[in-house]
Amino acid sequence: MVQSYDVLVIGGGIIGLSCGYYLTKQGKRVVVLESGGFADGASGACDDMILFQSKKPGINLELAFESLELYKSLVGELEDSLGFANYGGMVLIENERELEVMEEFVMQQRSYGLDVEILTKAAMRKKQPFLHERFIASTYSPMDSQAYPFAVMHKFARKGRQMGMQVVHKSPVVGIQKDGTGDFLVTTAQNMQYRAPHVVNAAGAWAGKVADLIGLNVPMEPRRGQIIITEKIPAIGETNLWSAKYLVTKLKPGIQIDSTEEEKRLGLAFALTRTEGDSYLIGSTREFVGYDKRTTMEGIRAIINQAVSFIPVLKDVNFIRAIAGLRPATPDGKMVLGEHAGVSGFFTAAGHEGDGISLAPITGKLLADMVCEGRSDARLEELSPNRFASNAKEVS
Amino acid sequence: MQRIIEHPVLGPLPEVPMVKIIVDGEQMEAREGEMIAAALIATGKKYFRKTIKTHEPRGIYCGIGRCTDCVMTVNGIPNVRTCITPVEEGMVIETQMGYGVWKQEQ
Repeated sequence: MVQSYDVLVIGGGIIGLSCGYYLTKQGKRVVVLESGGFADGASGACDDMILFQSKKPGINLELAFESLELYKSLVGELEDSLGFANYGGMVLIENERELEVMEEFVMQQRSYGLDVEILTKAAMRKKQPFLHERFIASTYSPMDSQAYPFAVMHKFARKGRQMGMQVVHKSPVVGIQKDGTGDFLVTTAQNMQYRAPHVVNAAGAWAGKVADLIGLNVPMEPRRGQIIITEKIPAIGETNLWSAKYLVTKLKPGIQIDSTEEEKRLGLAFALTRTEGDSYLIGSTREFVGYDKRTTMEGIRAIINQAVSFIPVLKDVNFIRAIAGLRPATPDGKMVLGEHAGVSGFFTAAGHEGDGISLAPITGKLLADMVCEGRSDARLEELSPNRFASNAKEVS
Repeated sequence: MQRIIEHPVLGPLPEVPMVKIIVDGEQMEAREGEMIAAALIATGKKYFRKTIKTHEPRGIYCGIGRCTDCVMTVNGIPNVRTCITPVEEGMVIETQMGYGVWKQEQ
């Protein structure tokens, strides 16, 4: 049996559900096809940050601003708190070299309208009294926020369903064809077929494989991120935290940073957020290990050792669970959003790596605008999937 | 003191050295090697913490380190499971309110 819709969304993570929700809101009949169950992929194994300070000034930072505004309106629209909170964030600086890079970065971000500053050691310790002595300064932005990914996904799906959106689990897509009428015919492993004039590939780390089904190139690598979750504990400091080391290596790849071999191999960076349930999420690793999404003793141990070296009181805290998810990583660190030039009606919305929670609402909204109105912002050109198609031509 | 001095199976309570502990600011004695929870029950202490939302009193429940109902702040560390943590000389034990608070390390 073939079921007909206006749009088929492949992938039921936070990006796919956001796309589905905003498309449905614009009056489209949508089905979201998820290969696993609810929150089975990276969206169910990640932290909860809506970070500004980690975004390079440019399109990512601009979209993060817009996404934050959407989150605020979604709290009313989806009739749920969504675990939305605004604790602010600090990037911890260990030495003069990091300070130099961060000062420059903060200046750039300020020129883009981000409320962020460098704190002296004394001001930093006032907000974070339990930090290890070695940190010489930090940044601080009151804008950094968070949302609970499970709540966001659940409410996107609930509200979407109320408006007629379908979400089908355990339905891996195994075939995509374009038939004579110009519609797409998508086949799942259960041999169910879905027909629609538009397909949205929101398959995260699997987006490359989905694109492959119709002969398109989306270079996407799974990057494993491991995170540990603590028991409920009294608050440690006022804000969420992460390390400058990670940002500095991301911003200035040439700069010499003291990292151990293990840190390099695991892509270890410090990130700590307090959840709505008073546990802490502490991360994380960034590893290229294919589609293996197991947690490892090496990864967990490294995260714990790092966390205790940042905040010594954590040595007396139990961790209750470890999670790992496959972040979808693109070669240029930017997400893929737009229609493929070769196959009209086929869109990709994936490749957010660590920014999926931050950028989910704006991604869904922009995608829905593209599909429904056929228009695309000029500023989104740099996110187009066609940037890889032209690269491929140059290479060959 | 509430202790079983003569147990029908285990026999008489053996003599062991005593240690001094401080419970909510008050000095008390405990048998060396026993768990904090056992020492507190022996002194007649009825509750170890108050719950986070409704501030109800809680004491020992599972007694084997699983349920975390008996947690207290011990030597400044919140959420210590008293049923599986042995007493030590000079240990400072406090009734915990909610999650407790971190004592600043200087």
